[in-house]
Amino acid sequence: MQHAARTELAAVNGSEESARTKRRFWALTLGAVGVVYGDIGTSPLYAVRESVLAAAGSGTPASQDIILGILSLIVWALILIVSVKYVAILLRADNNGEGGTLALMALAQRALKGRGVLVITLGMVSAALFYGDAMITPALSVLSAVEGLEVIAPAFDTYVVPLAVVILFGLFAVQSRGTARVASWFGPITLVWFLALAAAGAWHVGQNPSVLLAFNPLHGVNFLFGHGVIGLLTLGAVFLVVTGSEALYADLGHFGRGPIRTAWYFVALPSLTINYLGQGALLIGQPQAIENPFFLLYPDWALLPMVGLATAATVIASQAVISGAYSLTRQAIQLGLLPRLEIRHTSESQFGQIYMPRINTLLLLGVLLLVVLFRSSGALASAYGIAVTGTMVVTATLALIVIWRSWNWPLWAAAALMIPFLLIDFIFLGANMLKVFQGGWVPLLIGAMVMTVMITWRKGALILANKTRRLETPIDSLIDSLEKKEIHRVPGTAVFLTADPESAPTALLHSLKHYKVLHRQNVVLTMITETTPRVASAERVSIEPLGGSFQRVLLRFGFMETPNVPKALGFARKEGLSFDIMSTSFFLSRRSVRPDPRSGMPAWQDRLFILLARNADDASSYFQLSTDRVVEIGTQVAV
Amino acid sequence: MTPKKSDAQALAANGESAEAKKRFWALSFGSIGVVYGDIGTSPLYALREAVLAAAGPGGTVTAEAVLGMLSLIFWSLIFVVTLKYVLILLRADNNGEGGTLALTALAFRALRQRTPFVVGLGIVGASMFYGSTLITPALSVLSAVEGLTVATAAFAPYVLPLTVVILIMLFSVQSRGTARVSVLFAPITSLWFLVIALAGAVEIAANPSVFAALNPLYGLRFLLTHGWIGLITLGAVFLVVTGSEALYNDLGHFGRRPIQAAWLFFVLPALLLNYFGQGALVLARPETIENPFYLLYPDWALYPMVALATAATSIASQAVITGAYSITRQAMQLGFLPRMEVRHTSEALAGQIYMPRVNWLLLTGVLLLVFMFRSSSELAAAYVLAVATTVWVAGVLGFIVIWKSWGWRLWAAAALMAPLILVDSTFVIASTLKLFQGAWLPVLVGSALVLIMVTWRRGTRLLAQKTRRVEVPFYPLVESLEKKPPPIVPGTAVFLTSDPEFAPTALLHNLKHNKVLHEHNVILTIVNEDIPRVPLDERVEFTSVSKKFMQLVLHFGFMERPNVPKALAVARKHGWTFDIMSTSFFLSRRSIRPDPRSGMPRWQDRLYVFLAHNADDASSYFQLPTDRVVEIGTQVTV
Repeated sequence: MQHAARTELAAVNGSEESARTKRRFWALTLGAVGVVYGDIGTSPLYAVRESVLAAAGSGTPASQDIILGILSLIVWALILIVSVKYVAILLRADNNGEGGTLALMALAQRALKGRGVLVITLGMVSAALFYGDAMITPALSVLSAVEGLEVIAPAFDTYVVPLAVVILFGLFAVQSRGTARVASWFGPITLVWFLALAAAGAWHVGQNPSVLLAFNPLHGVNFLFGHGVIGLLTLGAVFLVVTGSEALYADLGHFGRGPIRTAWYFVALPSLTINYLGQGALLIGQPQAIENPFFLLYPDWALLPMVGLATAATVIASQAVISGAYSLTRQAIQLGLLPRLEIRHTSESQFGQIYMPRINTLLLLGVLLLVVLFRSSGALASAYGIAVTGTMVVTATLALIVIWRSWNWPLWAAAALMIPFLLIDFIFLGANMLKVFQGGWVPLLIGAMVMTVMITWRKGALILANKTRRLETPIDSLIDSLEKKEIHRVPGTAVFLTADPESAPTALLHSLKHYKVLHRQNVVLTMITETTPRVASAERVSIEPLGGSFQRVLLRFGFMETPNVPKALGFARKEGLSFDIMSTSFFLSRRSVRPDPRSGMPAWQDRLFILLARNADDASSYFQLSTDRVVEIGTQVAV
Repeated sequence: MTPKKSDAQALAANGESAEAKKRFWALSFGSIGVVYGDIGTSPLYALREAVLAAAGPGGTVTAEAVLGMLSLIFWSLIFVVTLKYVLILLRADNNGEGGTLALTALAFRALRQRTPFVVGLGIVGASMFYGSTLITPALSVLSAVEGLTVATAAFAPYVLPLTVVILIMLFSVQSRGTARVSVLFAPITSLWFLVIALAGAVEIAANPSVFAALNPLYGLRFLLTHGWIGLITLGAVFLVVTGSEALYNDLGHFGRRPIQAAWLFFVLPALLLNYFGQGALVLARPETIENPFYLLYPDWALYPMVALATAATSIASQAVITGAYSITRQAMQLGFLPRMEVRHTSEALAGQIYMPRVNWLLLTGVLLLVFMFRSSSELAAAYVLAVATTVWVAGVLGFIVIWKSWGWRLWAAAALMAPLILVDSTFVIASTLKLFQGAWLPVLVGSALVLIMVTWRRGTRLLAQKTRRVEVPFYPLVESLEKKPPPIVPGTAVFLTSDPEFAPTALLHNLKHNKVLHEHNVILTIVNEDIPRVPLDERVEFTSVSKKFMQLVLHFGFMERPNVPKALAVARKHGWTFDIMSTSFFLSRRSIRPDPRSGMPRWQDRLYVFLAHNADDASSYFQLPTDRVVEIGTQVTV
């Protein structure tokens, strides 16, 4: 992903062919509208309703003061949190073009030179919270779109949940096919969505221009201070308008800074603001519209098309969150926070287009559960905010560290820039904490489970690494000592597959220890997956003699290829590696982990780690070796 | 399981009649706690649901509806429980074991083959049983705790959290074994039955006219004149017989006669008194339909009754959980499910087991149900379909067994069972009406399990076909190795295998890929016995096959953790010297790969690989020193 992103950026910034660059820039901007802003763009479906209900209660109509106060809070949340914090500041903090909390964590780690349990913990917290988000967003947004049907006719009431379940099921089921083909529609559809938002909003603002007073922050501040706990509760609901702003940072790698900024300032921000103001104008005029202020913005004839468009927009938004979950998981795997999981590439042209079957299934289960448990967007909305605010606090803290240590600002300047944002984030976090018992426990529970998994995986991997380091021998010194010694030789070729070509494969050590033999010919084979889709057959194989009867062979495969080792070794024959497949044995090293009561982790954590390790993806399944020539040599390690 | 069989035999055959009588009543008493907890807690909600269903949404409760329901309840208890289960099915035991799967095994034997129809019935029965296992604890604990809201509505928000806490506690104590607390089960449940019978009797005395409901015409008339509503109420009436499956499942634990005696002389009368008492109350004061069970009691008795009901429902849930363990183990033995870890929690009883995976899956499912449905009324709808299907399967299988295995004529077996199956079918049809009100859930859980079981069976069969081709008998191999020895390397190799007749794959791999043989080779088999501990001198069985090969069998009891190195030290006394530092232990392991050309579609391949991957692996517990162990894996495709 990094390479692709960097080349994209390079193409955008540096090339002389300015016409092409320009076209590319606008194409990326349109793409960003679809993928990055789908989530934040569907918040108008429920955010105003929830805020006003929180402020006024469901029985009494809200006064103009209350509505202006809420609108003012909404507008300034969009300006301060999204425009300033994310778009203006955080987009500058990229890790080789990649954004997102884990990238920020990597930056902060580098800035602190490795020290910092705090940084890793913060990174894990935000990643863990993101999964809760990735489950709530599709459930909430699809539900709220389908609920538009109730506005058309209350009789549709009973079909809302089944319909939402069917849509979500379909959405997750098509993930394995890759979304590259349909993704070209995302940008245009979302653009139409934003235009429809703006149009309806502008019409209602035109009828009641007094809502423009909401740009005065005093309305919001007065409301907050005048209403005590209710004010805080309302703030929690107002926060719904900025949910999804993490996405514009997380997707930095896919689109680049320029397109994301342009799309925000010229498309998303204006139409969102106008639509929120329009909903406010509607509520001031007809307080009973609180039932569903978004869909009631539209005349009757436009309702059904709007429900359709809203469903499409929410599906696109959910798609973005799902892709985000994949790429976050991949980053977490690379950082050693999660076990290896199967990654399938679905596109030849983009390295970043991936599909992870396990994550997909888990997300689907979680989403369906949420829909069935909560049954309405109103109930789910109270579950939403906590995860997002938590992530925001983490992002702001990490950003403070990066600005201070990595950008080398003086501490006071970095603090002066970020502390106000941290303060705002903390206020929002506090406001959302009030909803823990109404549903806020959901993201906390999911987050706690993911956290437990990550902590256990890190700790277990550390223990395992300590135990296996003792067993590792550099291959060169092993070969030296082997060639000196008289050791029984058996006919045939032994191929040892190993991930690390520098140290001796454990399968080899085991045959020496337990069988006391060596084959006539020995090959240490390592497979490398390149970041290009395919590898030319001339570059596939490189062979290097290691002395004596040993050779090192490197096989390179592209990410779209299914490694076929026997075929690749056929090429190797042309390079001078002579072998007969019928007298060749392939040895795979395998580790099977056993619980050990005396080790550093309690028994339940041992068991969890073993479960994870056992279900981690095992790369060797796909090498297409013929099964009767393969021996898996397993070593037991206790954790 | 053996000790229990001997219990039952002891009763039947023993001459020491005083002793036997005391044992009989002890077992009978014990069965009240374990077997009848579930059916005994149905009065908490069954009559309310039935009468509410009969009155229709928003309708008024009429005397006709109450008497009709009581009549249906009475005759369901007589037909389904007394006649079908207690008098007929209890006689169909498989080596003393009862339950749907035991019945399936009996039917297999009677038909002398595994017909797809019977396999299908067995799988459906077992999966629906799991469906109802999820619902019973959720439903009964919820309904008991809901008694608090009768005392004062202020308790309403605490019902759900309290239920969750009770359920979590119940499931987390499972790993400790329940032997110690289980002595309290029978006294508490007996007290429960006495109290509900007493309250019912008092109310009946005030309004003896309810006995008119004994006349089946009331029920029939209600059913026939109310059309659609009649069918719906039938689904609710069925709630009174839920739990009757348990008295058949637990046959192996208590024996037939104690279970029968407890039902006929104690449980049935108590239940009838209570149902009729509730009926009398509702007849006199229709507004008590809100919660006729708890309103039988005076105000001061409410809190003690809620506590007693909670205890009784916990005991009932406990019985269902134990039943889930034992049906899982039977399914494993029949090859329907992958191997899972079974822990024994009691030295005295081989049947007292704990299965961690099953426990946690159940807890997750139960909590989900509680959160999704939130009240016992909502859950009741989901319950009936699962139980009715299980009961129906037992009826059909019972018919096959009576006809084929007991050697009855077809017409006689049909005359006995057809009416009962008809009744069951009516219940199943009535309960499918609730499919969209929650009954989809047990169907979903059930079909997921059916999918798993079918996949596991198919995959295992494919695997067996593939591995049979590569298996080599042990003795001929030894002979040919003695004649033409490959290069010999020093040291001892111990091969662990479950079947000493065939050469372990690890040995074959050594010969094929490394082309060497060790100086000494030991084929080691570990046998788990049905007794808690094996005496030291019976631990080791030792046979010398040839100069280089020996066979060693180690016996362990179910309460022992096999410690192989220690047991091998005992083997030293048998004249075999071994040095652990020059010994390598070879475990054979199969790693299964999906193969697109095999008999199963891809998703099924993957499901099978996943199941096999997470199946319990016995060798983890042998306490071999990790640095002397080599696991030799063969890849097999399915």
